[in-house]
Amino acid sequence: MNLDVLLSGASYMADPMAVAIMVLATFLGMFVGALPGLGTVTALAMILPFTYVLSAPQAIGMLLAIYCSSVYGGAIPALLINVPGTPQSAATTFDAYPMAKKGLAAEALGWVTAASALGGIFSLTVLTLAAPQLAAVAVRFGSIEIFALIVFSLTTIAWVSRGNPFKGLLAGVIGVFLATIGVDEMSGVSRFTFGNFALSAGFHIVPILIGLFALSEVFSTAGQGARTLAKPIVSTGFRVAPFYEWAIRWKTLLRSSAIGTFLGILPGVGATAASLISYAQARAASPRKENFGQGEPEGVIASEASNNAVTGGALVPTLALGIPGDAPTAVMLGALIIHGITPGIQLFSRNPDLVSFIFVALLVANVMMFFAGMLGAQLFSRVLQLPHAVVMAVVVALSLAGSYVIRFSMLDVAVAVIAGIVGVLLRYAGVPLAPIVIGFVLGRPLEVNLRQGLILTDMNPLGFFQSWIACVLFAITAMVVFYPLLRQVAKIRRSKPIASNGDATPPDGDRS
Amino acid sequence: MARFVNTDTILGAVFLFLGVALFRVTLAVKDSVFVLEGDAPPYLVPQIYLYLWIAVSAVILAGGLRGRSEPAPSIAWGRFLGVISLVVAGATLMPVIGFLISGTATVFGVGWTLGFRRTGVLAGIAVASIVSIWALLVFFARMPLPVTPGLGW
Repeated sequence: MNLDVLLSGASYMADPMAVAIMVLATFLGMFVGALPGLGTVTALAMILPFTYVLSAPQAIGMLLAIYCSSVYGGAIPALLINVPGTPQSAATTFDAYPMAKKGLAAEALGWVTAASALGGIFSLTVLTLAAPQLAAVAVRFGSIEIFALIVFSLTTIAWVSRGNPFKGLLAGVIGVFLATIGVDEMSGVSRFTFGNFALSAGFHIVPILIGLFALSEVFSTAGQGARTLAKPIVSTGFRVAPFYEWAIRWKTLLRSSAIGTFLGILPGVGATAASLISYAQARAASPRKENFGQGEPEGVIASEASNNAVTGGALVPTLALGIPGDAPTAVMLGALIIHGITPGIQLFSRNPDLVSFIFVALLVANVMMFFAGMLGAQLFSRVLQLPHAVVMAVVVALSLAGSYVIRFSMLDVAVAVIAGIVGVLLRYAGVPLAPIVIGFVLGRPLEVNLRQGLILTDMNPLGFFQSWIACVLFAITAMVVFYPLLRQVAKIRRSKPIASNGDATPPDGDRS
Repeated sequence: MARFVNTDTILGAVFLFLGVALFRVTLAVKDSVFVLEGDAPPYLVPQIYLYLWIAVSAVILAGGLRGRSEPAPSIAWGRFLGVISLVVAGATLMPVIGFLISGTATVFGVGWTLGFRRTGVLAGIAVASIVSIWALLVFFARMPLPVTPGLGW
């Protein structure tokens, strides 16, 4: 990407309205991230309807600021009440809370904020360098290759979900199936509308998002009974550690940022896994490993740098290929489509200004996040004292209004409420919700590319294997699915001889 | 018998039933659709998804029947159903009595059901939050919300 294009992208930031919206969004993202239970996706889902009246750059800037700052905001309750505001900050509690308990809350906040901003900026650099290269390669992709790529991403996301992988797959299938409802674009046939004209246009992503993430969170809270949180340690300030403290920990910062960025690029891994892996790596490699868990700043750096680095990493496949790596980027993808921008192969050639604006906006969002943290963390520590019942009640109002204004249709409100009820029941059954959203977003391109591929190969699915790119992607997909199964079978086989030996030779105690 | 009733059995059975029912729908309508020669029929892809849906549901059901299920969560049913009823009622009444009234009542009701008992404060928060959302959307964003009949807002 040349300097002229970068500068033309940066020129969007000359719009004072865009900057003001980003500042507001940074504080809003921190606020929502700091509320335990509400996460990045909920923040994005609730704000998405409000971006309708904004221009595309304003909307993108707003969503990026919320994306970055809500991940960071999750660390505030992690360090003040030992409860991560978002799952991504789970590893932050290990050392940030002990620091706060020792009376070093201001220092912990400084480490958290600076590590988050630096991790985000590192991943942005990778995004700026890698995304255009990836897009250049992806230009060679036809419908068969795109189909294979979507199958790979969707399978990986669903298969590596926490818990039973079949539940992740079921969630992914529900998502892609929901995308088939409505009038079929290629034949004009109404599918699964059951004579209801309002369903002809299909479901909109926003009510589904609001229902699955915002309303289901409210219902889940209601089902939990009274929630008791620890008494917050009210932060007494913000202090960034001196340079020499950073100098002895730079390797951890760099390693964690790289881990976060790399795992962000991979579909389905996500920021929670990234922060836990980085924490474990930092602990293994640190000369101060005995201090981990007792308030070691290196643990805070590892967790926060990596979970914020995921933001830039996850945007690489989202922008270059139109394939979201996780639920927040699926929302971002939905938002871009709503604003008439189709991420993927063509984005870099058709809208280079907008792409460079995204890079600049991400940089600005990370810098804003640092200053917002410096100025507002004191204030956000008070957020934790807000009654959870009231916050949840306001989330309901925002959800109802937000789902209505998408198309001024009560059907969307009904979809949001039904998605909320189904979402909470699926949560109780241990079904992950993110694959539903990602499946829904990818459902339409998956179907279009599959059908175009079938037409190209005269309805012969074996013809898909004539493309070596598709073959490689199918092979990786098969490995992702079968490797864990084969490992499990091998484990069972290995344990059988031991078990049979055990049967042949009874334990000492039984010999008598 | 109780061993077989767990979250995975219920989940698997419900989705297996839904999958089969939806698949039957595709079989019933696919013959009435005209498809050009060499073209991919419109129900082909949904049918592939539904094959997968049925297979995965069956695997989950089988796992549940073998007793491999996650423990059932303990749910405060009164509050859970109370909040769901309030949200459903709020959404249903929105086009009838307008967003300002239905929204205020829903926020108040949900807050109360979730355990916030300071009535005056809750009423104030309900009115303030709904008026703020209404002003933001209707005045600033020019996006109309359902109005109260006879009042025009």
